[in-house]
Amino acid sequence: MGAIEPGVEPLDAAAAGHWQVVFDRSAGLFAGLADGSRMGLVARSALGAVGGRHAAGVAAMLAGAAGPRMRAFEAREGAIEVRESTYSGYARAGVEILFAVDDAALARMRGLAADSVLGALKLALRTGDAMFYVFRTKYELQDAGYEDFLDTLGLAFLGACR
Amino acid sequence: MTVKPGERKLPELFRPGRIGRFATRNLIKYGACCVSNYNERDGRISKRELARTRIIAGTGCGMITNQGAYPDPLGEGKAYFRQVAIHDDRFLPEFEEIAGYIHDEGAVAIQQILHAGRYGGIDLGYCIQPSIVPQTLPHFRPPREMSVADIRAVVDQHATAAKRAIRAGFDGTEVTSFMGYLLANFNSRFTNQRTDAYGGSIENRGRFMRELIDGIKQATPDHPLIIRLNGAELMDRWGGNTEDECFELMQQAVDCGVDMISVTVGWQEAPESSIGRDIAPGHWNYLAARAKKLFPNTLIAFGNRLPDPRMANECIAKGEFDFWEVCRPLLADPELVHKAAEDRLDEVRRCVGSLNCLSRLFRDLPYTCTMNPALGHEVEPEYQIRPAAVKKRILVVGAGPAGLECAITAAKRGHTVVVLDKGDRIGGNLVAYAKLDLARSEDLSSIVSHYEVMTRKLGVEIRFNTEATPKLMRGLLHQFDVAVVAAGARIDRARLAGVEGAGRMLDAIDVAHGRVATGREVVVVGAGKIGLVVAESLAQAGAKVTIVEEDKRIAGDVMPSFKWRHSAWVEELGIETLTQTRVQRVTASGVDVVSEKGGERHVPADTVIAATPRLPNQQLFHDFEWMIDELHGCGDSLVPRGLDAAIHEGYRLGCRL
Repeated sequence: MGAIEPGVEPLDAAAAGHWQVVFDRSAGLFAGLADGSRMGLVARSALGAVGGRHAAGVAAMLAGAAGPRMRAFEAREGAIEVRESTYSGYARAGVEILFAVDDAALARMRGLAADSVLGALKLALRTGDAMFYVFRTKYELQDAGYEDFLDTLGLAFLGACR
Repeated sequence: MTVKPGERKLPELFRPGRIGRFATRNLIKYGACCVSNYNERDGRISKRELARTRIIAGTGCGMITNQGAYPDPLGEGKAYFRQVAIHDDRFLPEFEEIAGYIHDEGAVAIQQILHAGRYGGIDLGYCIQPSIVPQTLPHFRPPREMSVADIRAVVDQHATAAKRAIRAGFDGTEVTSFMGYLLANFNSRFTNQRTDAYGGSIENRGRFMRELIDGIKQATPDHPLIIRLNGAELMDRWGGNTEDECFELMQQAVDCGVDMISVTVGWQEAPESSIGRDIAPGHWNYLAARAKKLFPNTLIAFGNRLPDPRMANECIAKGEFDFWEVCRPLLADPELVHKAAEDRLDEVRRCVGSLNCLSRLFRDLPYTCTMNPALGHEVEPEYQIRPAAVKKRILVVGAGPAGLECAITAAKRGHTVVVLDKGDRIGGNLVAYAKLDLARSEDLSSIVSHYEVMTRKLGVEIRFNTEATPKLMRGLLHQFDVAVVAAGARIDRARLAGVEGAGRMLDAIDVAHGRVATGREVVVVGAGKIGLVVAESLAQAGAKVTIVEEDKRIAGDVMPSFKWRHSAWVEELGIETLTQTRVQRVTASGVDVVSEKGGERHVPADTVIAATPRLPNQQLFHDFEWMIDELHGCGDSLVPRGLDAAIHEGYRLGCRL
C-alpha cells in the first residue's frame, strides 16, 4: 500500500496569501461566523475521493504515512485566517465543511483575481469539478453562521430536490 | 369487454401484461416515487395515508407500488420524518387495508421496502453506510460504517419485511436504490470504499444486492421481486459509478432472477438534475432502451421524466421498456390513466415539475402538489368537490390561476360562473412568465391550456377586455350571489418613491408581457422571482443585465427546489448581481446605486425595470363590500405569493362556495 500522493494545492506563502485575499475581500460573508469555525480545502487527487482509493489512503495515514496537505480556513473575530494543515481523514479533519477540488479547477482558481475565486469555486461545485462534505447538520451550520457563505456557493440549495 | 376510445389510440399501454404469476390489466405501474410523510411518527400508517392510497388504488394502473417502508426497528433505514415502517406485525392491519384497496380496483399490489442508508437515520444521530463517506447535504446524518454482521442483519430485515408484506396481502415486493439509498450505497464506488468482500470490485460491490435479492427470494419464493436500479447515478464526476457499471450491476440482478428492473436516474445529492422541469421529457429513455436490449427476458419498467402516456405508448411499441412507471403525473392528476383511456387527455392536469413534492419532504413536511390541491387532503371532506347544496351565480374577477381554479371548481359543483378579465386571454401573468421560463416553458403553459379547456367544457363564461370598475359592478353585481376577487398583484412602485427619476423605470410585469420595449443594457431592480425571470430572459436574448437587490440574497421568494436553478442561470448568463444595494437615482444614462456599506456606483443602462415586491390588488374588496351578498378573495390579491398558493386557494374557495 503506497502513501497518498500530495495534491497540487501548494502550501507556499504566495498561494496562502492568495486565499487570504480571497477571504478578506469577502469578509462580509464571514462576519457572523462563530470563532473557531473551520473549513478545509484539499486537492481531490490527494484526498483519494476517487472511487476505490479512499480506504487505502485512510489506512496509509493511520499507519503513519504523511497525509496530504489541507488548507484550513478558520474564523477568528469575524474574519477568516488561512492556515496550513495535514489532512488525516474525514474523522480527524476537524472541519465543519471540507472542499475537495480537482487539480485543474484549483489551478484555474489560482490564476484568478481574488474577487473571482469564490465564484469559480461555486461553478466548480456545480459542474462536479469540486465537491464538498459537510460534518454538521443544517441547523448547526446555520447556528455557526455559515448561511451566507453556503448561500453564496449555492450549497444551501444544491443537491436534494432535483 | 368494451375497448374505450383512448385505449384504441394507445394500444400498447393498455395491453394486458404479466409479472410472475400475476396478470396486469395494462402496462402501467404506479411507482413509489416519493414518500408522502403523511404517517405517524412511529411508522404506523395514518388515516390520511389510507385515504390517499385509496385514490392511488383507483388510478387505473395495472400494478401499484405502495410507498417505501423502512424495514428495521431502530429506524436506521428511515429517511423521512413520517415514513411508513414495516418492521413489526403491529403495522400489518393498515398494510392489509392498502393491499385490499389495490386488489379491489383490480391491480397487482407491490410493497416497496426502502432502507435509506446514507439518507436514513432521520430520528437518530447517524446513518449507516458501507463506508464512512461524509454527507454532501447537511440535511442528512453523519455516517457509520456497517460491519459484516450489520449487513447480514439488514438483509434479514428486508427478507422479514418482504414476508410481512406478502402476509398483508401484497402480491410482490420491491427494493430500491433510487436516489442514493442503501442499496445504491453498496453498489456505488462513491459510497462503497470497503476493502472486504463487499467492496472494491464491482462483483464485490454488488454482493449486498445479490444477497438481498437472494434473501427476499428465499423468503417469498412465489412472489415477484422488483428492483429499482440506477441506469445513471449522475454521481460519476464525484467518483460514483459510470453508466456502464450501472448496467453491469443490473446484469448481476438479472442473474439473480429478479422479476423486473425499474430503471431510475440520479441521487438526491447528484450535481445534475434528473427529474426537474429543466430536463426534457424523454431525455433518459435511452437508459431504459439499453436495459431492455441487454436484458430482453427481464421486465423493464421506466418513467423518469416521461410524463406523457402517448410517449410511453410509443416507447413500449418500440420495445424500449415493458411497463410505464409513473408517479408524479398521477400525483398531479390521479385521473390521468382514466382520461387517457377515455381519450380525454386534453383535460389532464400535467405535472409541471416544480418538485414541490420533494422540496417539502426535505423540510420534514408532508408532500403536496402545485397542481393538485386535494393531494394529502383526501381524508377531509372540505377538500372534495361535491355538488353544491345551493346553486349560486358566481362572478370571478381575474382570469389568472387563482380565479380560474376557483371558477372551474365551483362550476364542477354546479354553480354558474362568469369570469371578468381586463386582458384579452386567460392565464393572467402566468402567460407571460410561462413564455419566459428558462426551465421548460411548455410545462407552465400547460396550466393555461388546462384552464382554457376546462372553462370551455364546464361552460364558464369569460368576458375579456372587461375591467371590474365600481361603475361597471354597480350595474352587474345584483345579477350574482357571490363575487370572488382574484385580481392578482402589481409591482409596488411606492417602494421606489424615494428614488430620483423613478418615473423612468419600466414595470417588470409590462416587460414580461412584452407590452414595452427594452434595450440592450438593462438594470433590473429586485431579485425576486419576477425580477429574475425577466432578467434571465433578457440576458438570454442578448442584453447585458445587472440586478440590484436590497436584500442579502437573490431569489428570496423562490421555492427551494428552484433557488439553485436561478442562481445557476444568473451565473451562466453572466448577469451581474449587486446585493445589499439600493437605487438612488435613475438617469438617462443608467442607475446610481449605493451599497449597504456606502459605496456608490453608476451602472450604465438604457432600460431600468422595477421588479420590487408586489402589492395586492385589494381595492375591489372595499369597492364591492356593500354590493353583493358574499365577497371572497383568493391568490395574490390577498397576499402576493405564487402559483402554488394561487391554485390551492382558488380550489379551496371553489370547494366551499
